[in-house]
Amino acid sequence: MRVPGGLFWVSIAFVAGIGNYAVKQGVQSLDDQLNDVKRKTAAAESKIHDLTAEWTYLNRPELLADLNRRYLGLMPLLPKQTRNSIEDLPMRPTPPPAPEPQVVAAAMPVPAPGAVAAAAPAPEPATPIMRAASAITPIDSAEAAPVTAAHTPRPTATERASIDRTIVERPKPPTLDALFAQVAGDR
Amino acid sequence: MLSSALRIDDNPCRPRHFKPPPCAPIPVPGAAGELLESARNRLLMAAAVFALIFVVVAGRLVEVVEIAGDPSEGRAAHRLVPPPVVRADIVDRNGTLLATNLDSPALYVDSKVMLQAGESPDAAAKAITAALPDLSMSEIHAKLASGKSFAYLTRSLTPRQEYAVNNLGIPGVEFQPGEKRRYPLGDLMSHVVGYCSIDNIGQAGIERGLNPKISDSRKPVMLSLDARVQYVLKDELAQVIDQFDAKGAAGIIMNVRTGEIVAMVSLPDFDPNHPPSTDPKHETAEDKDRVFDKITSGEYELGSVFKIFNTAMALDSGVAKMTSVFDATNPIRIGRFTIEDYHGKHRPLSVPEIFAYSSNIGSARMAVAAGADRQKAFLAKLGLLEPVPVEFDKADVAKPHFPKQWREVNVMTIAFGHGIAVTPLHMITATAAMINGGILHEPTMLKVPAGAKVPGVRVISQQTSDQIRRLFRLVVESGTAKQAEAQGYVVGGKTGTAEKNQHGHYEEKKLLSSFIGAFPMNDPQYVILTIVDEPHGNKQSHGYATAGWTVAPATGRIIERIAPLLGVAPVDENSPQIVKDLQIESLSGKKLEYE
Repeated sequence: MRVPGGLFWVSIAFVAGIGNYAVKQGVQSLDDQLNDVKRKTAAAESKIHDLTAEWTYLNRPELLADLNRRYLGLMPLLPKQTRNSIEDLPMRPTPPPAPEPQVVAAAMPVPAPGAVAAAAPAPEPATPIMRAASAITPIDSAEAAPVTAAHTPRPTATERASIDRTIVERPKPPTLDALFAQVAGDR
Repeated sequence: MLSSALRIDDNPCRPRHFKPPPCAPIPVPGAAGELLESARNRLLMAAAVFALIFVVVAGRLVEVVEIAGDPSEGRAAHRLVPPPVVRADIVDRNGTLLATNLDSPALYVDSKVMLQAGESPDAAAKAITAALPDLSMSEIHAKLASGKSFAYLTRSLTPRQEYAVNNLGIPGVEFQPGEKRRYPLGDLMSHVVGYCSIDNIGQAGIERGLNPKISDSRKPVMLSLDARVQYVLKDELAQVIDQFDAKGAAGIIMNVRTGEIVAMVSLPDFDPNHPPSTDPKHETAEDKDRVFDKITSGEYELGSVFKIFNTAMALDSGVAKMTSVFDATNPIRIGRFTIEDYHGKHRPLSVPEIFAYSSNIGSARMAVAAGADRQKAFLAKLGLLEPVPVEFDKADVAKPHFPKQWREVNVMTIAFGHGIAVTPLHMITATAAMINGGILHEPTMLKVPAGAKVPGVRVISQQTSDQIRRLFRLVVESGTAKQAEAQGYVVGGKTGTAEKNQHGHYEEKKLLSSFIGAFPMNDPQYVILTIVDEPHGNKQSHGYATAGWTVAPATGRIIERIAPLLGVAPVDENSPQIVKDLQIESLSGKKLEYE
């Protein structure tokens, strides 16, 4: 079927017109959105600015010092309280090894592969810190393997007992006040 | 159409693209034909008119949509609030806000509008002064009743005040948007950062020195200062003032490798949010004292701390060695002056002894041996004869005072810091060069990026600098500044207790005690200068108001508090390496004794 030329161009113009209008409208509404976002950004920035000023005001060193004196009693760091490197830190005393930890590990349900490595007691005697860490790590591996999440190995009763014991066995820390008094006395 | 074309196109062999001519109307004869003709003409006319209208509409459409530009631009312009007048924030080296602009509208009244609205000026004035108690009732009343269309009632309201006034709902009382420079840390940085006038133009400190850079900029200016260290310095100096009932104090802490000023305090100070009136008519002596920056504007004869430069000059020029001995048996009489020692030993002293005992006689003899030209050239090289180049306005930086004619008596007194007046900033800048390996860096208030290479001029040799470090350590280890020791930080320094020169003569009771200390001496990183103005001895200091009893202990406490903040790790002073680095061989085995 032949379409007469006039009708063809008119319909092209019509379609193009509608298209143009649609694009134009789209751009305009995007522009409005942009302006809106810009205005909100400016408002937020101004608010952040004000809050930063207020935050700084509330964190005046003299105010913090006063609050510290009243509520915390913290002292400046003393030279003897700092160490230059991690090697200079003394190790915690090693606790007696937990009773038959291997049996516990074997009795546990099959955990996620990562958890086995973490939860199984290391062959060399581990320090309490490392043991506590091993009780925490399986949570990560449980996330990695949700199927075995139900079996996530928590520290078993025996293990927990050993952790508890290490806490109890450590010399009881003095109260905070006593600690401050001690530090103040040292100064 | 098709049928009529076929009817006219009587040639069946015509090629397809050959269009037949338009078919002409077949005239209908008679009256019916005429009627038909006129109907056709009217139709044509109407079509032409409509066509014209459509062309106009289409043309207008094209013009509006395509040619008349982007209408959204116009909308954006009036919807987005134009950015307010800017002045860059000032932050410290950790990004803590030191100065910023906050919205702070001004309050004005259009009295015409108010009176027309039938508002009574009496009631309005009463309501406004109730909301803003600082304002005077009579002034406000006068402005409200004036009938003028514009009068400021007050400038720079806080948000709370703005809310309160807005709540009154008085017609004709309006807000004018404005900004006010605010200093969240209050008086902590008063002299360094400075303050602004009501029109936000810097009047002092960095605000004035960097005014062109700060105004019309949004990029924050990061200073080399550390608000925490500044607080420690201020806190300790305030305690010294309190303890020794002093007139004032000043302190400055500098990084010896970059020349960055980490803290700078001058007491008494002021709150830059409410600067004291600087109008000469209303300014009181007390205000003047508070606004005065002792660090850059104050010039002092600093006394014995100058022996650092004297000793360095003698050692570096080869006039003296560490083992050289100068006679300090008798006071020197020259003209009408007599040069004496406070801790007189009445015997020849070696260079370290002169430094540690702070012998004026020995220092004077050392300076004379070096000569006036060499002394003047050395002090000039250290920048002690010119204003310090720092990011402050020229008017805020004092020019040193020194004798025009450098006579022998001047050579002698300058050796121990009298007869030459410099600012504390001079003192610390030059001292940093003495202990950092011999490189003089210009002091700066702006943060130097980590790892940046800082330009510097070599003023003494590395070897001389090493010797000065040893002498510094000696003074704290077994000299006049034992109380400056901070365990683990290998403090070193030099005390100076000068009598203030008042109207041409020195007053024995009015002291200016100063201590310049550095840590850790085996590898100096920071240098601290503390000065206290007219301290009075007390029970704890056994009546002494000298530097060793006032600012030296304060410096020890400051170092203990700031070293962890500045990341200086404590060391064992007795480790063989440090002992070796700081020992003075000519003194080994000998003990310095004090009476």
